[in-house]
Amino acid sequence: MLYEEGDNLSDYAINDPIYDIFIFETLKILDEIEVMVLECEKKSNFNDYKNIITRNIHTIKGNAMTLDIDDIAKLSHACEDLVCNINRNKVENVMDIADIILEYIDYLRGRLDNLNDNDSSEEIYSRILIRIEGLMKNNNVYRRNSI
Amino acid sequence: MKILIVDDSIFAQKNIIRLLKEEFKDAEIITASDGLDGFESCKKFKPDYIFIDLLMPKMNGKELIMSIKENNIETKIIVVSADIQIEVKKEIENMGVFKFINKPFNREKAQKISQLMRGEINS
Repeated sequence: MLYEEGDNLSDYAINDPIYDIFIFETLKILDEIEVMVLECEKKSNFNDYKNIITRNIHTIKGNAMTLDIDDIAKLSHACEDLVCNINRNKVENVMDIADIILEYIDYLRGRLDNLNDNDSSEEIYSRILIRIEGLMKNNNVYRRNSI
Repeated sequence: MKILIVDDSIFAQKNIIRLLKEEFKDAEIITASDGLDGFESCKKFKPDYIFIDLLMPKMNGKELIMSIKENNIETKIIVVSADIQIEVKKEIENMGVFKFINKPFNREKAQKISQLMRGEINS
């Protein structure tokens, strides 16, 4: 397990239809983020989309927290941190940032395909987190406290 | 009781509705998906309570709160947001909101805010 062993701590049973809403909405948001990130790659900057990307990742984080899906919540928190610091002009490696966000999108799509299994994706999860922390550290930016 | 929920996430709206309905079975609850729509709905619906997310398109939560205050709309404002900077939280709290709730909005928080809304406890 990626995190503590234990039952689902959310207020909803794992077969509750609200999970379908979460999956549907998250996939829709991920599609939107992907289009924006690819556009940013083309333009070599995040100027037009950084605020929308931040807001969208923030939404995914909040919703994942509600359902107690820790890995999605924590990875979203880290990605939000990364994009927030583009806002403050502290992290500027556009291609690296875009690549990390695209990897985050792929990871989430995989997880949403099978929410009951987070064991098989542990390695990818750790790799993305390490990449984010490495990139921020290289730019002398430090992450906010974890959620 | 009339409640308006303003959040750009359908999931977040459904979650808040479900948990509030457990506490206020007869409540009339409507939703809006951005600050601008939320403001218009607030003027027409005249909710007793309005739940507001902060990061939203078109008009964000802070701007919505300012608009409500500037237009003297009588409603109690409850802000529901995932972790934000302490300074922003303080600023929002100083705008005269009824309560600030950190996401996740879960059953425990729904029960507590409901007690506050019914006046059974003080904040």
